[in-house]
Amino acid sequence: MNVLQQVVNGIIIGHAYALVAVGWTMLLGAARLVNFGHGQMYMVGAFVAWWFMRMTGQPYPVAVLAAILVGALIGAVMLRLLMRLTLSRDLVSLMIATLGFGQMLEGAAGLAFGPKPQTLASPFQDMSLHFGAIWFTVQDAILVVATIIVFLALRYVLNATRFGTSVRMVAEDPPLTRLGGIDITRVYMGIFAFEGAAVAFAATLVAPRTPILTSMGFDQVVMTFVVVVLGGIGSVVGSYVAGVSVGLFTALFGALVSPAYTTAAVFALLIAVMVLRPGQLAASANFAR
Amino acid sequence: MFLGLTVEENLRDGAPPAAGPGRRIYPMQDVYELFPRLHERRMTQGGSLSGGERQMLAVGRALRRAPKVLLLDEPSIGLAPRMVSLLLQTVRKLVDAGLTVLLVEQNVRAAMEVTDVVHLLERGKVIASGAVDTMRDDPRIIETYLGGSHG
Repeated sequence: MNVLQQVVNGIIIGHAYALVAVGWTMLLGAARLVNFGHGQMYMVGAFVAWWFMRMTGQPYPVAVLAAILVGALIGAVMLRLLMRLTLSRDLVSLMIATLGFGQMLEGAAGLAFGPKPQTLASPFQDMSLHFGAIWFTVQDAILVVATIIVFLALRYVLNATRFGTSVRMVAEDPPLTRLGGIDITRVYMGIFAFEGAAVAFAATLVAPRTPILTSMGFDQVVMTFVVVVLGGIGSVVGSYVAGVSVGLFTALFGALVSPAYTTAAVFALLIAVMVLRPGQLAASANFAR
Repeated sequence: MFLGLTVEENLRDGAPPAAGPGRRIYPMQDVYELFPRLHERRMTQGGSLSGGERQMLAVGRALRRAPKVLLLDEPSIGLAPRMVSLLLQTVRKLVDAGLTVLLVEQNVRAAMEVTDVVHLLERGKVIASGAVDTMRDDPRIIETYLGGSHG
């Protein structure tokens, strides 16, 4: 058993978790919205990239961009559908509506892309880097670097730009934000488009690791939910730390104890944290930190 | 005000207000001159400010919207006496510079230091009004608020 290799795997999986969760974290922090359609949006991102490469013959990086654009569009459509609930912050209805939105995406994807497992082929998946006893693919390296860049960029945008200030204002008090002459529907539009684009981007980077299925959304949503909650509802830095920690935990638990019980163990961890440190999980006004 | 924004971000908030008749634009610098304390604390998050600083910030935010009238609902509430007089003196400066201010206060003694006209309300009805100098001698005010015989 190569523990060092498991740590490397854990770091890679952890960055995958964090990158998949980043859009949801933003959505939760800024709009208080629990998006149970997140996993299906991930699935659509992966399939759009796959379909785009197949139909146009364009290389993988172009397909990534196409998936990001479609993802942002899906986010925008989602906001159009949920606008009234979002503005009134009807959180329970929103949660159920996002569940339905996800089911719609899954159904549509089943019709459009078929029931068979497919492979999103990234050329970087076949290139590997070896350092002594440990190794990883170039795809893994890109994933880790991209995740770090996305989190740093998000932190910068939230804390140092005008739009970021508007997002933090909307997160805290939408009516007061509107009083200041800010068009909050445009702010929400940016948040939802970011959620869609971010999860699609994550999908194009993570999905080449495994075959893709139109039914894979739910599995994705489960782990992402754990990461978002452990990170401290909607905290940007928190979800990065939580993603990497959960990745390390699953890799080491899978290697040292039993791979079959990893998901159960992650939930046990989540329950333990919720019982022992509930205060850490509360949404705070400082979600941008 | 926003607890998660710094003082500076709170004051920068929103679209720049339109100038118009009876409106004066208060640039950020003017707000900082009125409240030097806010300038000192400009990088501090709203949530970390003291009660008095929050009131200053709230007034500053209102000024940034270039109001025709500034409505203040009990700005003295929960503040130390020194802070109350500092805040009200600043409000007076605004009035002297031409801004109309409607101040609702239970702390009548402090309010009368800085106002021109007083309206006394009881159960939603105006029971006395007049210039502050005449009202100062009004028995109802003395009795109720300025601690006449039984304080």
